[in-house]
Amino acid sequence: MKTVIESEIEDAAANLLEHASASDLVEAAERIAVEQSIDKLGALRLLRSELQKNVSDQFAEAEDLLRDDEDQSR
Amino acid sequence: MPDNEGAKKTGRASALLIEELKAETLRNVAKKLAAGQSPIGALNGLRDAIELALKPRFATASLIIERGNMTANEVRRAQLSEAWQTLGSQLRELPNTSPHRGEIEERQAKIRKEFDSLEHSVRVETARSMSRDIGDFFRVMQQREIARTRKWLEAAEGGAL
Repeated sequence: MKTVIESEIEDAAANLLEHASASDLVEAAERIAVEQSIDKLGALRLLRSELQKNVSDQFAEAEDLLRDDEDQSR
Repeated sequence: MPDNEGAKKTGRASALLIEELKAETLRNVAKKLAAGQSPIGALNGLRDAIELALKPRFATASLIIERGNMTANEVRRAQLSEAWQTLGSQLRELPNTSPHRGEIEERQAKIRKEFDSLEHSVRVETARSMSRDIGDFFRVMQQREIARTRKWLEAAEGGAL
């Protein structure tokens, strides 16, 4: 059974990814494919790795911020 | 186009897709979710949830591109139907007393809910599209009627009638 916190985390994740639906990803990949003269699936793969990198950077920065907050509250 | 220019454009496209996902926002959401517990633990949970949410979206996007003629809704319906059947097979193999049945049934219920909501949005979209078509039809008929009346009036004024 899913806990309340798990459901809340899922909802929060869905809100944060509001503009990254499958259709949004397709549109972005199509744009990249045209701009870089590559096939759409290749563009989607590029987008995926770029997106993962961005997500990972933002989470790392958020973790630093939380650690700073913890240090300050001590 | 030079490689770094292409990478910049891909970076911008990616940033637009996750414009809500900023470090400060993540920090605030994690604090809110933690509710007195460790915000870093909540942040890790959020990171897992984001990765989990992104995976099927990329799979759907890939299918849309591969199949070309399928809409996002059609692809998602096909995926949900497939997942439903997989879970159904798992359920059939489990004994009635298995503690995992509840978890699988819960996942099936979630799929059912998404499927119903997808069906509802398809019905709403179809109704809207029909209403637009009917509106267009009447507009065209009205314009034809106006044009015919105008011609008739012009003919009457010219003494042809």
